[in-house]
Amino acid sequence: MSMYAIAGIQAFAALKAAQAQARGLAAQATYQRVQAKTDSLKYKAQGIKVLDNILATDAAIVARAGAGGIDPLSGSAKTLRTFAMAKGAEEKYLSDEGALIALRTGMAQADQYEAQASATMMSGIFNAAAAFGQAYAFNKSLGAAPKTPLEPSLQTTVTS
Amino acid sequence: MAELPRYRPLGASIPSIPTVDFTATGRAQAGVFESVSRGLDVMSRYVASQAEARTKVEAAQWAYDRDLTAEQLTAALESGQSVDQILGDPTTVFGSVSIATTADKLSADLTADARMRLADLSARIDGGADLDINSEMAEINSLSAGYADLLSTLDPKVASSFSASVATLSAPVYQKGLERQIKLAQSVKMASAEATMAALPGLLEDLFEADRGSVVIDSDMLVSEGQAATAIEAVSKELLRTNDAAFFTEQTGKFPEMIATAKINVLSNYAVELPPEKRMSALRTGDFGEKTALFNTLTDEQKITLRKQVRDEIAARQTADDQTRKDNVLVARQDAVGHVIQYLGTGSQDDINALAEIAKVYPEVIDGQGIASLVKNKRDIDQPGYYEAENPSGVFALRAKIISGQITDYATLEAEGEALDVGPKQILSLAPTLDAANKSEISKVEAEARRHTGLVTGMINVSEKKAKAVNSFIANVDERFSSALENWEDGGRTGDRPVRSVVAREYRLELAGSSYQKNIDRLLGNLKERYPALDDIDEYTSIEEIIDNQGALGLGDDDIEFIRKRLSRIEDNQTLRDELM
Repeated sequence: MSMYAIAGIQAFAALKAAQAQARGLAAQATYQRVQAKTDSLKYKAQGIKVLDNILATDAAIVARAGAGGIDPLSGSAKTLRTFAMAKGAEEKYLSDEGALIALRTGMAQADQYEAQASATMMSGIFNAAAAFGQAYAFNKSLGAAPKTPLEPSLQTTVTS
Repeated sequence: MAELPRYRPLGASIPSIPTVDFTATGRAQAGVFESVSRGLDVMSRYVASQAEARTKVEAAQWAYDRDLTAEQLTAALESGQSVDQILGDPTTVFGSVSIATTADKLSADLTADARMRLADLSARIDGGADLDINSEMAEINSLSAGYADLLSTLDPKVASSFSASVATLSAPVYQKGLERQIKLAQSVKMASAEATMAALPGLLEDLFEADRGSVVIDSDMLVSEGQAATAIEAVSKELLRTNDAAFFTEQTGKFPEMIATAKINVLSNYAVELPPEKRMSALRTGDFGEKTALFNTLTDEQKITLRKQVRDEIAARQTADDQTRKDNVLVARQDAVGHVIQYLGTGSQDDINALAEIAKVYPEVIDGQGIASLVKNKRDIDQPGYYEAENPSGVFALRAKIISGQITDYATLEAEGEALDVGPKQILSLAPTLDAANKSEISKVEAEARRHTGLVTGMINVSEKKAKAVNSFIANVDERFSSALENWEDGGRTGDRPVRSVVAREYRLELAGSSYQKNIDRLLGNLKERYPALDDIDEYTSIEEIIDNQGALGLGDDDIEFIRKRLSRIEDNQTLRDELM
């Protein structure tokens, strides 16, 4: 079997290996996008719970103040409601940003996988080409007899 | 306050998505191909190693088959071709192997060539050829340097190895050549010094020969001695150049003796050439004339040697003169013989004159009396009848008759000779033969007589009776022979001539067979039987001999008387036997 035949098989194997790895990486990228969406939704759900908690806290303050004969729209009740609103808003914003971060990082990870897939594919192609290149270089390194003959006048063995 | 109704969450939530590793699948799939690729790597290495090995073999074979010589390679490089073009790219397997193979082969060829040249040089050194070792080695080194340069274009390591090999091979040859050259130079110097030393005695003698007693200014040294010292100094320098201390010491040790010998030889020659009276005076008083000063430089011992040498030289010259005269005498003898022979042939007066001249100078060769005798002999020879014609057949016939007894005296010999036409000189030449034949015949008769009487040959002192018997026997034989000869002559000389020894033999046998002899034998037998002590008695025993030994034989007087009678009877029979028959 010649070096070129072996190089061909090696190139094919390198391409197929790269292709398989690239395909896996591409799938992993898709999956990573889904994973990012899911994580983002979890943060959104957390934001909704924060809003629910704000409303529940405000309602409790109003109800307690009303029950105690206190004007819930002024005074300390109002201060408590405002404080609860501020805290809740802060937590809501954090939750929203977490959703955004989760989505963005997931997308970036997916992009990385895709880039890896592309690089792997390129690597496979280069490896395949390198296999042929190696075979060619090896054959060149073996060398051969020079094609230039000696001058005719020198071809007869000279005896000293 | 009653608790107000509020919304109760149903618990709906976003489920967690299970982690799925899609890359693992890809890695697994890729692993399969990578495994295949690793296997192919092994195959690839194997195929590569095979291809490389095959290429190496092909390259080596190609280079060997090409059989490139140093001259071809040099010419190709000089024509502008590169090593790549000639043997292949040195960065490839094929090229590197073909170049290495060619380099090795050329190195081996060139090493063999260098070895052959060195062997040739070594043989010429051993054979004593006339050569310059430095020039020879420079040529070989130049050649090997050129070869090394050529090899370095192929493989510097091979070139270095080649240079080292040639250097290793050439070192002992160069050393041997240098040693030989040095020895040769030493031998030349030694030979030159020896030649100079050999010529020195002659040179010294020439210097002393020219000596007239002159001395060096402001010195009492003779000029000749000064010149001799200068010559010896020059020779010493030449001896020093041999670098042989032992040789120098040995040769310089000879100088004093050489000087003394040269002086003695010169003075000796001078003295020998002097007239005898002056010579004796010179030796006694030391007055050698112009050589006196030279003589005075000799020691007492050297003067003694000089005197002895002069005596020896004079004796030697005398011996030489004697030898010369001896040689001349030999030549004169040869000349004289030639002239004598020539004169006897021709009778020329010139030969006589030449002999006379020889006689004047060399009287020991021939003298006047000899010359006169020669002339007389010549006249005798020239007389007619001096020579007689040879008659070999007649001489042979005469000799045969002498030997057969037909000629027993000179008269018969002369008569027979004249009858056969044999000359007197040739007849005379047969006289010794006749004498010898007669002597032989007489000896035979004598032998018969002794045999008859029982005498041993050569016995001289015998008894009287036996002497008488012998004399009687011979007288009877002579008488019988004369009678037979007369009968033969009277009978016309027919048949064989009677022979004295034959007559003697027949006479002895006749006596032995006679009746008287038988009587004698019987009487002797009786005596021996009666007296065993007389065992040795014979017919010639006398009674006196028995009486002389009577006691020893144990005989009485009666016995003596009896024996006397018997012996008397024996004697009677003897007389009858010898005289009457």
